Amino acid sequence: MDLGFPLGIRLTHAFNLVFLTLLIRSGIEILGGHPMLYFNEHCRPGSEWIRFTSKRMFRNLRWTAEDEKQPYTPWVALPGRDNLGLGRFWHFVAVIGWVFTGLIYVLVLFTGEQWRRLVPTSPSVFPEAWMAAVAYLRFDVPPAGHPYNALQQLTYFAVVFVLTPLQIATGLAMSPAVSGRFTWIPRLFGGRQAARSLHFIGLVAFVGFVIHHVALVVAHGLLDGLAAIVLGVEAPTPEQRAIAVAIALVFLVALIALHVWATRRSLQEPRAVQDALQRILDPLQARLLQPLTSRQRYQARDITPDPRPNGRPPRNREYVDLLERGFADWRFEVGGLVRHPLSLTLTELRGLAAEHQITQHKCIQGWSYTAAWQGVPLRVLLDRCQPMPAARYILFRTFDEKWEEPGHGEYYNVIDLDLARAPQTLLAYDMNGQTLPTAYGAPLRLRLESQLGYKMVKWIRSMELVSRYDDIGAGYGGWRADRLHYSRIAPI
Amino acid sequence: MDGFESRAHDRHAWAPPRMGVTVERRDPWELVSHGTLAGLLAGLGLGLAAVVASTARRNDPWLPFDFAVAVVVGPEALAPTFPAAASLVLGTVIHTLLSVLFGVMFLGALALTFQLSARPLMMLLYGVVFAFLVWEVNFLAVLPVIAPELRGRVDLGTQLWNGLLSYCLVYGPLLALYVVRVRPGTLDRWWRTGRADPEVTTAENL
Repeated sequence: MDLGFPLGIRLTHAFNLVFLTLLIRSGIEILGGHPMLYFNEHCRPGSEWIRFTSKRMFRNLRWTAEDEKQPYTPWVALPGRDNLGLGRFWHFVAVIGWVFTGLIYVLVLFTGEQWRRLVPTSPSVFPEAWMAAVAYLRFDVPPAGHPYNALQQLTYFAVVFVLTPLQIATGLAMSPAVSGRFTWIPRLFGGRQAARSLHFIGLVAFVGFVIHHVALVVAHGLLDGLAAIVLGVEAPTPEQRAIAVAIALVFLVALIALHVWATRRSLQEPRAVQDALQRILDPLQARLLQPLTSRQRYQARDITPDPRPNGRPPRNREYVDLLERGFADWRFEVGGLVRHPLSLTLTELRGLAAEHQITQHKCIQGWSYTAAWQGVPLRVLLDRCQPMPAARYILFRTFDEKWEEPGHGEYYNVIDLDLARAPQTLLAYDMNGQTLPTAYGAPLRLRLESQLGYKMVKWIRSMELVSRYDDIGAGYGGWRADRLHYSRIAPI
Repeated sequence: MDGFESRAHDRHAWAPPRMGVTVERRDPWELVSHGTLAGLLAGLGLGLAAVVASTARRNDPWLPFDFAVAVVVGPEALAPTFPAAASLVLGTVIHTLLSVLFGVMFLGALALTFQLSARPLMMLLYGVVFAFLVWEVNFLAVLPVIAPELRGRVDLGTQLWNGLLSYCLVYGPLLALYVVRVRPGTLDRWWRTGRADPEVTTAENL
């Protein structure tokens, strides 16, 4: 059967290459955020099954998870040089393009006869695939099938209908909003870290497939293969071969130029890239993922024995004095667009209705831990202070002066008011049955279980209800969004 | 909760930001020299395996040499009239050069991906996968282009034993074993978590 390559297949093949290469390079950038992969949920140092870093952490010095980052070269990663925020923007924009391309591809397959290329219709495909493998092993080329030989058909079927959905599902399983709301999704893969490992193995499988695919295209006849996928011609003339090669070369040069442009622009004008990509992504995230509320119910046996701390605790005089007096003088100020401003001591906070939850902390870098938290639900405080109608966001200010990065201002974060009223949104003062330790945010930290860890501010000083955040800091809704080009919202 | 206690109340000095104990170094000369040695060792093993397999299966110990020569001089190397001595010398040289080239590439790939210090079992896996890729690219993509006459002239058993299996079970694992034993470029075996660190001097302001 001569199915040929209609225009839809040829175009989606080309766009697939564009988005897949963007995904792979930006995926490598994200991997550099925490260059270790685990098949356990506790992420204990040394328990990783594979790592991509030139260092391990000290055993006789204190360190935090941020110190574990491994910058990768822009020759490989997009954009490279430790730009996790922009790498994620590129990855998720490429995901949108890739999934859209895939849907069109599947539509083209199943609205005509093209599905016969990929979908086996007889059990004989397995013995036939073995015969094809034997032919390859003899340096021979097996006879063409309908139109693919059985081994090609099985391979392409597995890539399109098994590997691709697996990549999408494991990607979603890492999202705090998705995995917090549908806790069975990460469990399907053995947990969030196993999903992350499988996502990486899927990436390697795609790279392996591309190498294998190109090797076999060469074995079958590179020029005829190019003419088929570029021009849709099955028995090309020499002129058609030349045209196909020329178009393919132009496409490859354009693809390389796109990557060079994306990399250079991201490194030289990160704010402009953040603005552009955020305009595409944030409305989608806000509409699809932000409404998902956390329903995590972990057990005490799931608690991570030695969770990673992240961020160096403040060491300014004000904080140290408060710490030395057990935060007896500390007052949590609630102000801004509220009818009843509050000023509460830690004892008063502890006197409010408390909630207890065991949840998984999911860091943007990739690691996670499970812990028990106790604190006051944010909605209880909102009921007390009564936000004015103009209030849309909550600004959290902290004691964290980021002393390890002088000159970059105090850590702050802005969250949507809707998220504040969500279940499992706490201001936690206890962790694992103890008073919240300094390393994890004493005296008070936010737990926002449908978001990534960087939204859950530690060492809280005050909270303020605001109608806008563009006049705070650099105007991006958080210290990390301002300085590191992270997204203001973090449901994935 | 002992682990939690130690993390929560850690009183050690702070490490300098973004610093850690370096576990690997990339020294080009070290990679080339050890890649050469690994390639020589693995190439010797591959050659022996191919000769033994060829002798056992076809009573023809020269066939692997003939094939190596055929890559350069073409299918006439496979003809009975081709001088055995030339086949032996040329075949050995070509085989050795390619073994060393791929050995250096293996070490280079490990260094570029920070895998010089990988766990031993992972290293073995890398060796097998690398050898499979070498076999696939060489025999399925490169060979048909530079020696198309060889297409279809190799029986399955020869290709399986002298080709795929000897690459994946001998060449790749030997490369890996060399790296596991010698550990070129590896400064710390990170998975041995019980060992103490050397003394570390922190920056003054930390």
